[in-house]
Amino acid sequence: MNSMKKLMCAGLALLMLAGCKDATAALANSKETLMTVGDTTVTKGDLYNMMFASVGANTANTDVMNRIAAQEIEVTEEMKEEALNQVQFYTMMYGDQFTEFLDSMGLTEDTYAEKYILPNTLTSKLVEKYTEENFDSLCGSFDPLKAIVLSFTTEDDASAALSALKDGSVTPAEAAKDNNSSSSGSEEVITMNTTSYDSAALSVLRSMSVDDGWTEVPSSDGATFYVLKLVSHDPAEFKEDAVKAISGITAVTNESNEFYLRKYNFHVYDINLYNGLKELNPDILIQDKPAPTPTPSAEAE
Amino acid sequence: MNNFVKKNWFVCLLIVLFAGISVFYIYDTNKGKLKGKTANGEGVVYSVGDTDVTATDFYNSMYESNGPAALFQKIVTTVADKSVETTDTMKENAKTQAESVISNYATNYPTNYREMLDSQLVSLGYSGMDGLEDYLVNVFKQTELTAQYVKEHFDELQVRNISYILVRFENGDSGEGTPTEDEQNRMAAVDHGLETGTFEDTAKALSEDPSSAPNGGVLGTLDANTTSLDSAFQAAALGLKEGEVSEWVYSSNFGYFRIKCNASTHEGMVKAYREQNSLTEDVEVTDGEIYSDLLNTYDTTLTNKVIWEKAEELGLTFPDPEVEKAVRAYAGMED
Repeated sequence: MNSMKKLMCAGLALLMLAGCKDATAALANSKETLMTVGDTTVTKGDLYNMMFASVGANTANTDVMNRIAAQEIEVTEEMKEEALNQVQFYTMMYGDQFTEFLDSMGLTEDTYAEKYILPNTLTSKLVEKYTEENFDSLCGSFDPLKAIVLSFTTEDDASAALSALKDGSVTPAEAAKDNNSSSSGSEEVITMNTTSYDSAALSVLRSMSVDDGWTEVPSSDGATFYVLKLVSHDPAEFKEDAVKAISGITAVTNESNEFYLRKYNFHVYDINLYNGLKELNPDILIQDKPAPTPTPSAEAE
Repeated sequence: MNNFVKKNWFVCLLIVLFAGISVFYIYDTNKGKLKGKTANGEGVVYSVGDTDVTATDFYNSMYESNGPAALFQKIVTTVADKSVETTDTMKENAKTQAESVISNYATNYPTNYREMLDSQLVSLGYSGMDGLEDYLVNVFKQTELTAQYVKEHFDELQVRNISYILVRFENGDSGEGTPTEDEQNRMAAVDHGLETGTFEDTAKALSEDPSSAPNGGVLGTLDANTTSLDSAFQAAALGLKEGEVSEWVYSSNFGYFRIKCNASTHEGMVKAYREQNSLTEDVEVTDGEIYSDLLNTYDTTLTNKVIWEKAEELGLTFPDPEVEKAVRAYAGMED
């Protein structure tokens, strides 16, 4: 009988384990007083809950990629200088408003550059790094080419520009300006993801060769007239620009992020953060995603 | 043992079955749960690479961008709650506004408006969506508290309710402060209008500022802390008493102004508010309503100052001087 009771108790204890909840990460020293207003005390735990609800998911979302980028990308003096220049630009643009903002956050221009601008630079470089390391396959997917595209609202303007360009008497920038176009006339990288020009123009560009020179193409709806020239269809010839253009594509950024999140085995252990990230950016929760299937070429290797 | 089992075989069978079902039940219930992790005795929020980010690490990270703001928000809500009594009007208005807020959230976030509202209210120090009406009552209290301060320090703040008529430069400012013939003609027309009619009607007909002319030239309520107005205009406005109209005021930025002071006393402010909002004597108006444009537009520094002073009266203490320094910096209340 005593054995029976012990066995029953053990069984009931086991059942209690069934009531386990999703995990939350408890904060140490949560009862520490941060401030008192009259008889109202605000503890570290109170503040943690308030901040978590307000910025928790966003903070984690940013911090994770910042931590990874800090591991993968070396900070150069050039990057630091660029970050500081950016802050000084803000100060010039926004004046007192920006200075007051820095004061309210307890920051200087240097610390703002270090804490906010530089990490942004590193995460951009991270995607560029991914793009460089997967350059051939990404070029296969996005087929970048380099071209000059001038847009005109009338056929007469487009034809006049085309004529001048074929003469060689003007630069593309001058041809645009002289014929009522706001196009810059600069070379640009166009990918399969580019939507800033009509599909008819893009289609012609992809079928052109460099020797074709300048050509005129009306848009599908006849409202815009393009004068365009293919500069190069070999991404190796303009690799740096191609990397920048491809790494600006959202799908590539997402692919890069997933790669690095898996590489660094990002995992969430707190259910509140998990739910917050699921709402904000479910793609970051790689723990919910199946591992990617190896490609045949990888298997062959 | 064998004898025991032989004797009680049926009970043992039940126990084995029961244990099996329990284990399966426990496994099935827990398989979808998020498993936790600890590092050095503290809960881990997430891990990346070799780094376990504990709750303390995460707290520090959030504190950098949000800590002082959240603490000051707590000061604001606590001070307002303790300093101003809740009135039936506040409760009724809060109830009405709450319905409107929920409706807006439901429109903008149809699938998860409750979670959004919950999260917003927790970040403000409330328990969740159930605290919405309390939050709205608190907002009314904040306005009333600051408005009460304005009333008590009216003369010190040099509060004025102002209207104006503008005659713009013909071709930009010549830099000499002398109107051209065209400008003089337009100014003369305004002078004639003011001699023969009201300031309001003259502004509607002749003021060259399209934003204020339709309202009879009403600018609103400003004080000595206002920084967003033309300095010449502001200096002239603050120098006027109730009912006075200035001579022509030259502004290098805009042209020439005639400025009228509609109110330079609290009683004048109440009267001006009623007139400008077409409210009869029987309609109750609160100090918060009367001074809302001052607090929300022309002197936005006042609320923080009032809240901080009141908090210090109630007893505001920070065990950590660094925390106090950060919250003061955020609130614009450095020593």
